[in-house]
Amino acid sequence: MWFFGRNKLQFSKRENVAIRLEAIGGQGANSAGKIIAEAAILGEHFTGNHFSSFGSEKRGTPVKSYVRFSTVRKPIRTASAIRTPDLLVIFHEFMMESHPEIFEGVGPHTDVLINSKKNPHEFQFPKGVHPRYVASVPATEIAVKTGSGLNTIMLGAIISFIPEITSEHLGQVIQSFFSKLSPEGKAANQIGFEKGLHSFKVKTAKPDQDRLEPSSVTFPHFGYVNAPIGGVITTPGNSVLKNHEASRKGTAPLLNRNECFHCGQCDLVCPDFCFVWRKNPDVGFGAELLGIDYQYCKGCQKCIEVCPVSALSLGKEEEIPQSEKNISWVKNEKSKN
Amino acid sequence: MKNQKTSLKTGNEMVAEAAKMIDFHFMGYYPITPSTEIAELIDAMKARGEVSTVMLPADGEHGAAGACFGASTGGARVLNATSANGLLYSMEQLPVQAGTRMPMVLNLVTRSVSGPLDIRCDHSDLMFALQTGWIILLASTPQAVYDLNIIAVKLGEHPKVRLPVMVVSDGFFTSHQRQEVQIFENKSDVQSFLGVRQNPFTTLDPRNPVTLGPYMNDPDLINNKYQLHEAHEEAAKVFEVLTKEYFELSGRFYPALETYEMEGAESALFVLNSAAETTKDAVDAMRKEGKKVGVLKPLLLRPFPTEALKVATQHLKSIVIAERSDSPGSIGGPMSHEVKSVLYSDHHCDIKALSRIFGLGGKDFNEDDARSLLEEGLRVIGDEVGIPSFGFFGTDRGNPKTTPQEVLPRLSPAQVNESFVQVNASLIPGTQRHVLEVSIPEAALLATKSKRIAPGHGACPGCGIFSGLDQFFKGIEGDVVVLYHTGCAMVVTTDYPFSAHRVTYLHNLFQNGAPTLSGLVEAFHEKKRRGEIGVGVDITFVMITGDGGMDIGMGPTIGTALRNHAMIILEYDNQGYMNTGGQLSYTTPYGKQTSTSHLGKNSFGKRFHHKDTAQIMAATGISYVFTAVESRGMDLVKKAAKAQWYARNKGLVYGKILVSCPLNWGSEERMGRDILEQAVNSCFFPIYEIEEGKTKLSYVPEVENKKISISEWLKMMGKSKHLLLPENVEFLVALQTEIDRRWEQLKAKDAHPLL
Repeated sequence: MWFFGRNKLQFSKRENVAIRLEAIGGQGANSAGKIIAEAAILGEHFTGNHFSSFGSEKRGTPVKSYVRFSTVRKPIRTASAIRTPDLLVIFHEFMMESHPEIFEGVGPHTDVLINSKKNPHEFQFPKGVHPRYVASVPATEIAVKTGSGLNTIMLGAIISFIPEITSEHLGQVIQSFFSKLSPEGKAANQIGFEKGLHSFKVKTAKPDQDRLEPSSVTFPHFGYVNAPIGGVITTPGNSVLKNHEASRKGTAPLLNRNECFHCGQCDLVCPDFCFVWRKNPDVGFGAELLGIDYQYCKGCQKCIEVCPVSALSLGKEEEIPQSEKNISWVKNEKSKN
Repeated sequence: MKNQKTSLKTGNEMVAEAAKMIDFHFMGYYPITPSTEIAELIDAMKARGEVSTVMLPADGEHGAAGACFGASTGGARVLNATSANGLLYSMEQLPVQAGTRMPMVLNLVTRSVSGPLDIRCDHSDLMFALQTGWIILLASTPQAVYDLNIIAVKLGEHPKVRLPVMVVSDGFFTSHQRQEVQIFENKSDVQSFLGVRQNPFTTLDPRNPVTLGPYMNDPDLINNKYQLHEAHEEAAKVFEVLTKEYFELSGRFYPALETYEMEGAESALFVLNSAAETTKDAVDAMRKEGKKVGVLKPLLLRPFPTEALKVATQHLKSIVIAERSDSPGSIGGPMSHEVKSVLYSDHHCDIKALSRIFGLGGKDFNEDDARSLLEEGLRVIGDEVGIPSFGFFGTDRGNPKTTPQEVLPRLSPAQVNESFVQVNASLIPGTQRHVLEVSIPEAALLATKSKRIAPGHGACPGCGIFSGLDQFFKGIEGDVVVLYHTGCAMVVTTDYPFSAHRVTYLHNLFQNGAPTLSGLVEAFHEKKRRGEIGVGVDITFVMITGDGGMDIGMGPTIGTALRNHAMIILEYDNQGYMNTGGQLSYTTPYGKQTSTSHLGKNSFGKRFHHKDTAQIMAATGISYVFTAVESRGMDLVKKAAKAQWYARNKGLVYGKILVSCPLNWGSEERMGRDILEQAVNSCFFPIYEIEEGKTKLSYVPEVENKKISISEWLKMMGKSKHLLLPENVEFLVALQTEIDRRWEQLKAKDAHPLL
């Protein structure tokens, strides 16, 4: 049997609740939203709705999943985005840096739950972001250890922030949702859920602490006055401004330079062009692998599979040495001209 | 009222739920976001035995509409679902359906019409449908989607109507929004409401032959169209009757024009579908403040609810017509003109009307937005000056100081002409044919070559497309211009305002890339001939397409190949429509599970064999055809170099590369190469070349003692391993037999000097 007790947060119940889940495609935010909505609407007989906003049907791009419900059965009619959430759940810590817009509408009524190993007091939010409670749960770490879905662990942590929904109703929905999984899958998700339930840390946000300035990467701001006509993009290859580190699931390839003989096989298979090379007549085939640009690495491990020696191995993301983070595909490209 | 159960469903799910009750004879479809789920869900129901509907995955929306037309002439109950450009691509068929008076139901899940390509909701597609002669019903909630699909069947088939019906819901806002809904418990309740389709004539009654679709000029056609006009007049009356009947059945009532808080209203917002639901929240809030505002939401768009609108507006002082579609150059969207024509049909009307274009391309519209439009409607009553009668709502000027910033150096001539790859051609004596020898450096040196695609694109982890494309471009020297068909590689490299392309890139919709590039190629040569482009300029033109683009775009591609333009067509084959959620393509292997070929007691996966596109293209007589796999990069580099030589010297080249799709193959991201190798070793995907008609195998697994049975490959993917189960042995044997046949034929071609 799954355990559906709650952590001992004493939150009062609200009449209208709006939840926004911010995730990367493939992390299961859409399903998590659906589960919450089913428990609220079919279980508790609240009014409400759920929908998700995403791009094409792929992994790795930002997904927003919204749940609204009203415990006093106010009609819920709108399917517009939730701009001022009562609960904001961030499925990947890295999104706080790469997608600062996820903090839109966070106010004194908002609780923020983040998938992170950090303690809540360690987070720095963009200027002006003052939530009510901040909580963290090391969901990626738990997922790597248990094989549980990330969303199950996040749900385990989420239920303590929505006291309006009883554990029984949420439990029923989750169990029926996982009924099609294999016995191993069920067991892994059950452990994941319980760990999520018990592993989160919470604190009241201090409104006066030092805040980070918004992200320093400024993306182009085009409107009808300055956008090139016809929707043309006139800056070749500006996708290099993007950062895909949030697509990784806690692991990454690590390069052992002592083993590498610069054969170039990794460059043939890397879908994300992370390997940085320069010509060097002194190295075996006339070219030298400088390193991996982790900004673009989504952690697929194809390079590890193809490496004919053991120069590339699977490691945890935190094992990436700081020195490796200076390897830049763009800088190398600039040096060619 | 009949028994119903409560559930939580999206708009798309509710189309499928309605289809379960209706049990259509036939559904012809082609996947397009955001309507794709409809066919997926019904296919899954069919696999479970819940419906017996024939599911026909057409080669494009035009074909889907044709298939639906054909089935409907036979008296079948027919369903289709599409969006945006899918509707436009099928557009030619829609007046055929209406003009021949063949009922069917088409769910239009609205989305912005390309271009630029945008997958989110607006009504630019719907507005093109207004002139087709179809009945158009608007469903603003998942519940309405369900109810109106059921009503649509009966309305369209009514003896006084006999028209096809479109049920329109908003993409994502309704199609993907989950709400509490009611669903009939018993199919028989819906069936007895619908009755059996009565046909005055069908094409399936040999004892009563009919000529359907004659050649009809003047003076007859105008009479046919008058009959169509009369049918719409009747449809309005029948709708009124049917909605009352349906109310008895369901407890839910659908008026032709919904009026919300219109009693005593001084101003109203006329708005379609989901935005009207949002507007109700704003109206509730404003009414509490004593502001007299209401909402007008048509449910029947064709026939237009003229009389109901006259009645509802008679005491208004102003109206704001808000539209998710512009009609550029006409100072108002189509709805503005239609509403105004109703209002001002009485010359004494002094209602002030404002026209506002909002929410294009899915731009969010929330309660505050609705309120500001309603407030404008109130302000214009008070003779406030300066309120324009027409305008866009929610546009952004942008920051004029922002100019496009280059973040990467442009590729220099030296960078693209490093001569890493060299091709030596020698003429075969006594023929026009050549023998090409290609020399390429080690992979390491090729890794230093500047890439035509930059990192930062948004493909899924482990995607095989980009390693495949990069391998190909490693073999291409000099300047290139690329055209990408709609598909994964296009979507993930060009999300505005970002582009991963370092070379000039052009997109066109995937039924039409080859003709588009052929036009550009010919313009290039003509401009060069006229001296408008320098003689020293050389460009290699490459079209990149997925296997989906080779389904919907097959005809135009063959035409382009027959004209033999100097260009390369490169197909990345990931065995399905992956960008829209992994539906079957014609290259998907027999028996494989996809989101439109489910596994179940009534279905074993895809029901026809994979398309041999390379052989189809070879039959056009082009100079060079090749197949390659992403797992054999250096082989692909060489073939790319040859492709460039043939495109420069002989004409059109077609190449197909098999690339992995971990997401939709149900395989591990890191495993792509092993799976591809086994695809080659099992001879599912032989790698070979056809140079000026001569077939040459690049690799023969038997020679290396690596030949395996097809099951060795199928078992590696979650979406095909079911074929190894004992109960599926007949399908496995059928697939193995077909693969053996093709492989033996290919070996014979390789062996024979003339083949």
